[in-house]
Amino acid sequence: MSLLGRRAAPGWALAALAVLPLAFLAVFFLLPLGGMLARGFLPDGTLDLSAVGEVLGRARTGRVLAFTVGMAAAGTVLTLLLGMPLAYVLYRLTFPGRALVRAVVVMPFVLPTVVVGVMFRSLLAPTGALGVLGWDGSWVAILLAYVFFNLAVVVRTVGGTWEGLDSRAEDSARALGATPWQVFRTVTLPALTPAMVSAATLVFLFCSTAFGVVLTLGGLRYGTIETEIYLLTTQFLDLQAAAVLSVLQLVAVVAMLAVAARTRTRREQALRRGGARSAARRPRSHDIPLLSLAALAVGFVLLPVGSLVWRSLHDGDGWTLRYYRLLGDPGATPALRVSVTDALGNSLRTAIDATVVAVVLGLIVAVLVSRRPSTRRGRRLVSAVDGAFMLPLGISAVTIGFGFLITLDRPPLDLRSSAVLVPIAQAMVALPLVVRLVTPVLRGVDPRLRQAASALGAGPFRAAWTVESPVLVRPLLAATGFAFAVSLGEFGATSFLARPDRPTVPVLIFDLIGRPGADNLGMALAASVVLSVVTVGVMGVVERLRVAGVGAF
Amino acid sequence: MLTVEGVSVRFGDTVAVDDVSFELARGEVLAVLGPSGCGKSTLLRAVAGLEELASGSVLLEGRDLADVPTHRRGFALMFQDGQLFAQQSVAENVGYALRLRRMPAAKVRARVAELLELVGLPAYGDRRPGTLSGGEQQRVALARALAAEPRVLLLDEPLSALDRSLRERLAGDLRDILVRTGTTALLVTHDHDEAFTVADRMGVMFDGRLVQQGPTLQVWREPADERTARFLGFHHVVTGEPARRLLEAGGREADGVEGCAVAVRRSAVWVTDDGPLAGTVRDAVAVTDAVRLELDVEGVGPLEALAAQSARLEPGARVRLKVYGTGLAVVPR
Repeated sequence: MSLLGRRAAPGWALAALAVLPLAFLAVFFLLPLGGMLARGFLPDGTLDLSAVGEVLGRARTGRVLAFTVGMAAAGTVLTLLLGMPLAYVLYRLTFPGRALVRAVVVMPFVLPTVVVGVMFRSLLAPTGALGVLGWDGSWVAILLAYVFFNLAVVVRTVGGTWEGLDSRAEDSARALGATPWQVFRTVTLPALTPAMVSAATLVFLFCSTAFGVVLTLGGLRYGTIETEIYLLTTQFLDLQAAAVLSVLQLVAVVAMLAVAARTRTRREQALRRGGARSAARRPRSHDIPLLSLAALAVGFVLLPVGSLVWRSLHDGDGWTLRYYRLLGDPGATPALRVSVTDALGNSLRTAIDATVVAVVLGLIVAVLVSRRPSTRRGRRLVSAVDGAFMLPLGISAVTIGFGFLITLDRPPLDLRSSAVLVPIAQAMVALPLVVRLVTPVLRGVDPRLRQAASALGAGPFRAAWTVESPVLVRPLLAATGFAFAVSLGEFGATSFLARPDRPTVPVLIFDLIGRPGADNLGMALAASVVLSVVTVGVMGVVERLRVAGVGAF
Repeated sequence: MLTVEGVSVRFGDTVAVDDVSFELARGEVLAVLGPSGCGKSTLLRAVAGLEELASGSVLLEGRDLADVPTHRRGFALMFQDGQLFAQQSVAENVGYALRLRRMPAAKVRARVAELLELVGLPAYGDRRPGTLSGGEQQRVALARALAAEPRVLLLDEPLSALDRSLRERLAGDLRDILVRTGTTALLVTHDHDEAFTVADRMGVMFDGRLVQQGPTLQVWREPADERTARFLGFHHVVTGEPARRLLEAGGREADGVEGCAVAVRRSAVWVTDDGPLAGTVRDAVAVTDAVRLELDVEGVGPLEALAAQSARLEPGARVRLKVYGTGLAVVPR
């Protein structure tokens, strides 16, 4: 009996473990999403789908859809074109300072979206370094921001695969008479294709659901589905139309995630086959064209950053720290009720809370989805859980934010005035990233190690602890840093939920750039610099931990 | 004729290949044998043009290949794990070099079928490399390399990843195919048997230097120095009076070897009823086709030897020993 009990334990224990994250997902994701959809499709308590055809038939909806998809496609192609040479240079060549350049390239991915928006505005504004191009407020600015933001996804995902490719396959082809281009086309490219598809899918996903960047750069002139949902909800109170667009987005996102997941499994299989043998070498003269392209990409990343820092330190007369001094002054501008430093305190506190929630739940989910049940049903269940926790990655943060407001406003869960909503929403955004970072590490643990521990007399928990806890330390620390950085910069949901007297820094920055006056803009720039420094500092620590998965999917 | 003249390859401060020279006549197979990390793979890559030479030159038919990139050298490379292109079928892999040369599709098909037949895998054309066993993958890799009709075929431990019985069988097949196609080949390996079976000539490499080269049998029997002898499977090196006794017992000329050492293979010393030497068994271990003994031999000292499997030998037993002269080698000290 006791033997039977011990054998049955892991299954029951895992199910019990699953309750906590599933409940969290149900209450703070499905419920708000459902509430939002109910408002749209069940306006009077009865199903009313008449809005679907009407909304989809609107000329404006067509324009928004075309703009979203077209821009996301263009952004994806450009990011791939710029990212591939960079991936080659950073993962197949070795040179002094490579680690630094890698860190620089990852930086934009963790920068708060609003800050990215502010950067490109400071660069492209008529007074900015590239003001002569006249791209301020145009769709080009949004496109550039997409590329800037997602370069890391391509570089790390493709680069990681490229680094692991055994160069001897390429050597074989060369020896058989293939020119460098033929080697790339017939051997390297097919091996990289799954990683490229995976990266492209995610870039497309991130581009088509971008919110903060589009709102700051496009204002109300250019709308994507995401900003349109925001507009429909907050300005026109047209919840039916918002719900239709949310569902449309949901379907598209699920489809894209499914594609990404399929290529990812294929890639994991492919990588398991190949023997890893470091093939990175010093640059030679024939690498110069690719090195130049890579330098161009790095310049593209550094230019907006430099422009932001430079302009935050200049007013009309020259060098100044004035904007930074104003950050601590609550009365600096009548527009704000609190000083930026107070907001930074809020940001840090909520980000810490969100990080704790995301990491604890993410670890549980990762442990769950890295099990390999022996039954077909068990495996299906595991992959369903895996998929469910990826959903928040692509669902409109606006939908979540607004859903929180309309569903968690009455007993038993009246959280509208509570301070926990913001960290919970941020945790929801960070959770899938934590899961993605920790799960591959756990899946990579050879199950025979656990079997060996069991055979030596360790119970199932003891065996898992012995074998898996040592490899978890670094990825967990990295996930913590990553979750913290993401929470710190979260804008979409937070903009709905932060109370006016307790704003976070991204919300405040968005508020500031919407107001006229040099001081407001200067403070927005200075606050962006401060927020970036904190975020990049945290990510610098994460980078030192050398966990492969950050920014790679 | 492939000529390698004073070739050195450096990685930073380490010298991976140090002033290596050899010649490889057309249709000949040369094996470079050495322990892992001795620089033999780097030497192979240098010949292929995949590593830059720090000094020296590689010439083909007298023409310096310094300015000829890998893909124009007309060589082919084969690695221990095949390195088949996973995205292509077996037939596509084999026909790779032919398609690069824009050979018409029908001719490619015919040639691929011919080559698959040659390596003993007809009807495997549509398979994916991932579905093949290790031995089958190596056969396909060989067919792919031969399809290019390489002026020199470069083989990097081609059989090392396979298990022993397969390795032995495939080594024979490889030798057979290379001879039949008249292929000039340079093989690097750490496995004596592989080198011995496949090659006409053999070189031994330590720490980046080629310390000895010659016909395979000659190198096998007459290692140039003690280290080479030990690497080639001579278990003991004895000197002085014991060395003289062993040579005499083996019927070899023992005069003029003062100052030299004698290397002894385990298989040179066998237990018989009436051998010239006597010894005491210290330990006996049964192996697949003999009994392996550790002995104290009178007038020689500790030595390893073999006995027929039927012999029942306990530690302490006294035995007589016969010595085969071909298992002894005189090496300078």
